[in-house]
Amino acid sequence: MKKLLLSAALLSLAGCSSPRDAGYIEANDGSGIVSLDAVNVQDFALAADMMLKSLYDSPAFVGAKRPDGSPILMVGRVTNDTGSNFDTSQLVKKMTVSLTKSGKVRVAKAIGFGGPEDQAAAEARKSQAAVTGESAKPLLPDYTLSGKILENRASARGVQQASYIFQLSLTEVKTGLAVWEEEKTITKQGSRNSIGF
Amino acid sequence: MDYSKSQLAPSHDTQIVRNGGLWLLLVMLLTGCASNYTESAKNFQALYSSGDYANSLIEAQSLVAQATPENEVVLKLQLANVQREAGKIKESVDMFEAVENLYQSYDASAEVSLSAESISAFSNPYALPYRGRSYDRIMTATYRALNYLELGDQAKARVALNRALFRQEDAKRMVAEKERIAREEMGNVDASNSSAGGVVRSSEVYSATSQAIADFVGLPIYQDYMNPLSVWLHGVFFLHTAQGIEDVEKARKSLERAQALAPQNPSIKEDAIWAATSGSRPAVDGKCIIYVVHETGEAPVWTEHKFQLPLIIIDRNAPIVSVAFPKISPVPNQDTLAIKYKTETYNPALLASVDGMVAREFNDELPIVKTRAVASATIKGIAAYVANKAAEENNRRNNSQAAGFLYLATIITTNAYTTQSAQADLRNWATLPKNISMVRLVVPVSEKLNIQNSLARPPISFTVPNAKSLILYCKTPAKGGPLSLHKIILNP
Repeated sequence: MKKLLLSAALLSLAGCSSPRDAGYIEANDGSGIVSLDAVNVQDFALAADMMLKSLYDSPAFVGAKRPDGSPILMVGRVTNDTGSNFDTSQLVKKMTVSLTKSGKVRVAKAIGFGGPEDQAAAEARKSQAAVTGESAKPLLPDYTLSGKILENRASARGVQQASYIFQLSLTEVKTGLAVWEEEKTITKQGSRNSIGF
Repeated sequence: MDYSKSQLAPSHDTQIVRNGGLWLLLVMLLTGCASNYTESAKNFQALYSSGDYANSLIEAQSLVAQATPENEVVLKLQLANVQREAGKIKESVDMFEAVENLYQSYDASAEVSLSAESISAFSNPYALPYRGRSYDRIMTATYRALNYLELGDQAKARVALNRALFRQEDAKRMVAEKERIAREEMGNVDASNSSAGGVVRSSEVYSATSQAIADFVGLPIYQDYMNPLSVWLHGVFFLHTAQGIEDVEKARKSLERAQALAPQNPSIKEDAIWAATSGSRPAVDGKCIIYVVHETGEAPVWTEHKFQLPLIIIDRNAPIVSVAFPKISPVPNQDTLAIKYKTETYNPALLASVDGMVAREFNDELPIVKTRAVASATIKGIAAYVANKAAEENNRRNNSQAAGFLYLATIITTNAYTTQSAQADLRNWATLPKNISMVRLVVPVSEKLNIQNSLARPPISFTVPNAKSLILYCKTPAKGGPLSLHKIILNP
């Protein structure tokens, strides 16, 4: 009976554990929280790094110049085809930041798929044109970047696997042909339990 | 006064009483407060069933505001449904999102598998959090998709529909998981050397639990735990919003699956053929493809089935021990819907039976529920027996009026405790419908449809908008109840 009393007493005390203190971590060093049900911040960082490496290694932008500078890139639709909500700019922004800094392209902000990314810039262009009496020159991109993020699930013997497949294409507007395409997969495994009661 | 050592030390009989009483007290403490979940949800449920969404919204909000963390998921699910029917789609979206986040946080934590000791103390099932059953999780994702579509956010609807498919895969996996937990917990009970294992396997318990689901014979059993509504919605969404041939292919797979799940519904066939033979979105010149979906009735009602356990110990000190199991029964109050266009009348055919989904999952969970309930009742019975035995021993040694009174009081208290403390977990998403049916129409733009349920209410007149395809999602909570309508444009 003493054993039972002890077990019950221990049970009643269960759950009294101290919370972990908050602290900073590096997004890319592998110490972040890994979720099977979602694309984590480190997944976007890793996917963007891999995509950029592939893009820089490709001849996509070789010889692509405009008289006024480097070519213009417009960000197209990147479809989230997974089961979790997130903003696809977490991937795309990392890429456009790097490409802009490298001088390979200039990113169009006053035009964009589904509306301009920078509404203020689009309005300012219109106002400027109205003041000068000239119509605003159409901002025609040389390239568009579009893609899809997919999710694939599998499970066996209590282990679940989630794969996130990042697909991107760079299309030359003039020809309508893809000049660079890449697909990178990030796979995570773990045991997840969700008995519903 | 000079007290000798023997006077200060507790006597043997005092120790017995103390030990017996302490054990019983501890078990009683672990029982926790009896839950009044069913009582508190009764008023809300009555208002919702009558179609009084304005007042049921107030009730649901109040229930959520007072919710314990253990009941948060189930109460928020009810609230999200009422918000949806009360026209507060954005609030419903937020509420379903909150529930989805709770699912994810539960999934990231340890499983609910009880050890021998914890099963013994598991007297109050309401002390465990309601983590959402598989059908809850699939329907959560499906309603989220419908809400997003109604708000015109197709990107988020796509994500929610993908989630609904993943939840169905999870459901299939969870069956094996439930079987494993049931085996593990039964093994723990057997290893604890109590008599609980024998009681779980007794014919009395078998007969009581088989009655718990006896009313659901003949309902469709969906292959691989799929939900035909979610599968069909996935199909028509990807067909009518296809961004490329891959989406049409996804639609084809889902529509063919939906056809196999709901063979009695002829409306799925045309889309399945289109998806298999064409690589684009369907469109009919000057006409709109309309899917009228009708959600009606109430999901099975959960009640408590209490009965007396076979005696664990043959002794006059053995208390009467009760065990409580949940029981589900169908609610026969579904409505019918008629859509009139000119001289033609169309009636939606069955797409999904929620009763079938609930009954199947209830049946899957029964072995775990049975083991937990019986093991808990048995250990309470043993605790009460020890307390009674100790009080009897004390009475025999002291042979005083006070000791006799204590013995009698102990017997009464332990019997009241072992019969009254048994409680079944009746938490469930009660605002789910009983049946969902669907019919597909192709009607010229600007024409009028009259939609009417079984009561002689004036029909709702609907003018077909200038769109290529849409869903009219209708709901009647009970027979003759008010008809609410959600317009969802698929392809403008």
